Amino acid sequence: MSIHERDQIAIIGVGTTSFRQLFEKKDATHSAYDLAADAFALALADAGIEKDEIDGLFSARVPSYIRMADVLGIQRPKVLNGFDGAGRMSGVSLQLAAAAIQSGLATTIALVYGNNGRSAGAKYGGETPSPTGLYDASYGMTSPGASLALMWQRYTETYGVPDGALAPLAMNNRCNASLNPDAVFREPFDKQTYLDASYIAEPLRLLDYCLINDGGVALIVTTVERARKLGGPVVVLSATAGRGDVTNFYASDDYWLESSRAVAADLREKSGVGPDQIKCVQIYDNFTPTILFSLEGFGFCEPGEGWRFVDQDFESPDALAINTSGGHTSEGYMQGWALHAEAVRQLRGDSAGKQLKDVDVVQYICASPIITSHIFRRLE
Amino acid sequence: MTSEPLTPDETYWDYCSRGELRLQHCAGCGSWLFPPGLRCNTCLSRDLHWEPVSGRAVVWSWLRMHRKYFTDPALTPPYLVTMVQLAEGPRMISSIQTTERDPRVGETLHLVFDDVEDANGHRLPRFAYAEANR
Ligand SMILES: [Zn+2]
Repeated sequence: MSIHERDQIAIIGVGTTSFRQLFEKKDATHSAYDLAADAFALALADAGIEKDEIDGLFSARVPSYIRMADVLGIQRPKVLNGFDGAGRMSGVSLQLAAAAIQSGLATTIALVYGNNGRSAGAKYGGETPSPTGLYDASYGMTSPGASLALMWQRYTETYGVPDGALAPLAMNNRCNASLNPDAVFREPFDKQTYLDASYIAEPLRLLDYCLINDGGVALIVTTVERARKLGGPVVVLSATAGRGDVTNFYASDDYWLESSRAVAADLREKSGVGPDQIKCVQIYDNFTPTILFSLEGFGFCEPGEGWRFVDQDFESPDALAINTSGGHTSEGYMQGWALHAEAVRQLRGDSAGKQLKDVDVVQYICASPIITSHIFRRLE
Repeated sequence: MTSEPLTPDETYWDYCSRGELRLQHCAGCGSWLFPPGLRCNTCLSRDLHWEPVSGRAVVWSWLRMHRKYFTDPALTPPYLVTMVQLAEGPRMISSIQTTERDPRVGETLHLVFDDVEDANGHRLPRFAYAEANR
């Protein structure tokens, strides 16, 4: 069986904690393991399978996969591994789970992610180690948002982009989150509110930034053959592709364009699906410019045109639906994981946010130092 | 008793303390390396030599930091941070000495050094607008 073969891997269960309820408990301290375990229990129930049917476990962001396996009582899985907390790892984890199943290493793999960033006081900046971190810190350079600010400033000067061009993306995320009872922030805002928000790393404002919140997400992945026996609609990972684009700096010279195009071409070849057939995308949005770079890199619009492309009426039925559960800036910062869950739910018709009608293909895109993209479909 | 050889990071700052920006230059393939490392990341040669750079650079991009992340009073926001691309190729984070106006992507800069050491005892290489040199 080849990894290139389409529609072999199914996602039979998704679980997400209520990010809103967790956020409202301002004084509570949560354990990342506990959050991941909550999501895992929800995903098992969603899949309608027993825990002893799980024979593979991938954990993410929790400190130890050993402890995670012990907490969940999955002590003898056929595959066991842990991924770090970088958002790019959500796409990578699913790719490797699919590969492990297709190669016969395991049959049913649980992917569990726990993030206690809010209650642990994560700041995502300061004197943090990176290849150039000590040099950068001398000048006050730190934080992923500042890296995106560098990229966005370069982009705006290169392409002559007016201030406020990112507002539609921030507004779209919030508008979709307003429908999602579990989203952290649900109050829609207008462009003036966006413009009035304080800068964090100028040119990026607060409303361009992902949240810092607590939560867990879990996915249960297996073969399509096994998924069919469970009855009900089968959502498949139809195809996936990826590529590293790694330098000393997070900030990419070409906004990951060349690498994204390579991934897009690979994915199109494997899935037979390109941007013209996509009505719904879940795009990794640590900061709003990332959405724009992703749309350009994956062929939804031309390089330099993304800001014009997103200056659209997102409520129009013809508009490309982006981040239907609210994205990282409004639903919650689950580092790509909740976007995966939302892709599956859209296809099943039980989205937490803006449910589209008749959606049978959803694409996930993450532009970052590891670019990943998946095509999800619903089998009849 | 012989003293330990300096690490690449220490060597970098040692040159800076004398007002020189030197980077490792590969004798094998001619590449320049930043941040300092153990071998050339183009050809993997270890034959690296600390050579002075021209000091010419262009603005790759810049930002103004508004959030306080560091306790060092010199890094009290708002302040400008610049990513420059050296004429030799490597990019590095630095800053522009003047605050009279914002930089522009692609504009030419030249190297200047702080006279005083920062909180870590380093003399920082910074940049200035090219016209200030005329
Ligand atoms: Zn070399």
